[in-house]
Amino acid sequence: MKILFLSFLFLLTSCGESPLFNHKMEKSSIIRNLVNVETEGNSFSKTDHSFSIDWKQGPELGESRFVLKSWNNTSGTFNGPYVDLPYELKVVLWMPAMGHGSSPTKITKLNSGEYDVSSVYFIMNGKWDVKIQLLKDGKVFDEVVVSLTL
Amino acid sequence: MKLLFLLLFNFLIASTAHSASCCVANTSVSNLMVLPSQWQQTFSMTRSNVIGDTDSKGLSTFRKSSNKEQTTAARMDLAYSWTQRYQSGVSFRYQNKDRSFNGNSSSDSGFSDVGLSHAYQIWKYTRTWLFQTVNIPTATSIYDTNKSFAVDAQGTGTYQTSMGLFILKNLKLFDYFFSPEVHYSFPRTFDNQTGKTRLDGFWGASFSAGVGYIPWRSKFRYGLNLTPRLEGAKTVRSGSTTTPGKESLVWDSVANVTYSIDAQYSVGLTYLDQTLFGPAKNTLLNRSIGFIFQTRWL
Repeated sequence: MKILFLSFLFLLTSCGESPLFNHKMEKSSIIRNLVNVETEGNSFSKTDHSFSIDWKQGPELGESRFVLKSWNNTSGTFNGPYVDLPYELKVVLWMPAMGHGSSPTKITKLNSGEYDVSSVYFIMNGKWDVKIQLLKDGKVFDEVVVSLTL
Repeated sequence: MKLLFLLLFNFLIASTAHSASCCVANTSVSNLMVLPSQWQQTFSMTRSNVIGDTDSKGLSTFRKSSNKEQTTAARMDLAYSWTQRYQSGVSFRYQNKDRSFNGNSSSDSGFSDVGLSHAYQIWKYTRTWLFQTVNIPTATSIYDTNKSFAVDAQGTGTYQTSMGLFILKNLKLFDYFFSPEVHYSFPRTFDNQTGKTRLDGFWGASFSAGVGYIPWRSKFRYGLNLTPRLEGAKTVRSGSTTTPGKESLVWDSVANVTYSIDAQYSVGLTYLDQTLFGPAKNTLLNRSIGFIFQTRWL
């Protein structure tokens, strides 16, 4: 009976943080997480290139899409001219708290220095890292992480 | 008395047949035989819906109606008694995952991981079992998913083993059970979109407590149980980058009703809700319903 009593007490005290009674509803509208890459760009550390992200869909739970534009720091700015990245571009989604990612993204080159990144699936709410990677010989040579919270 | 045992037996199965959430593996023993049976086979169907997400600070967000994530699963549990006190079992699970959001949808079906278990009744005349389970990661997981919305992530991705106790007591028309358990997930390296990704080993634990009521001379049993499940932080290494994760915690609240058709067959209905008790942290919140059909041979 002592164990039962303690268990019951444990339940009562835990009830206070019930998700059912302490939650918010998912927003119907998209909450944009303004990050520097949208307004100023961000630079890779091992190459002389910077990039910006222009969200065409999202970022939101479900499918999102953005266009990444890259320029050389010595000859270009946020507004161009855009030049191709020196290495293969890869975009990886990662949920750091959960310790997992999502399905692979698709990258299509649109013009010189402009890449369409689609199949960006944020599969659950929370903080996400969008890892913008440059691959050299199949290995990650440089990486910039853009964080956002959905 | 025999009927009472049968009802207890049904209850135990019903309490553990639901699926694991995304983030906290269910490593409790799923098919323990508490009666002196030779064979036992349990077929269960469950349908789970993700209701919301809880972040690492415990803030829960319930999803809107256009954001659907549903899993329908069929599971077969087989158990065999080698001696009066030692038994072992195997579990297979086939499931379909549907995910849709604002008109975009994705779906995938496949087998989940294979589960193995064995249990030993510690003392012959008390119903206390020491059990161990092993999860064999035969299915695609969130660490090597390829489909949109990660719907092909049907398994946990890692070898896991658990060890625990299952203690059963009776008091007049009521029965009670307690089951503490600890588990460990072994490190594993995945070859995925990020290259070689290594998931470090991590610990977890759970504690189940339940109560059941059997009306006098009834073949029905009504049960409630609660299981808080804790999963340690998952650290992931990719190249020179190390990403530490956060702990996950979820509470399974289960209500069930079971009916013994006769000495061989029984059926049951269960309802599981992960939104009732907290705190929940860093996990998905599910609600699910399940149907169970069980056969046993002496």
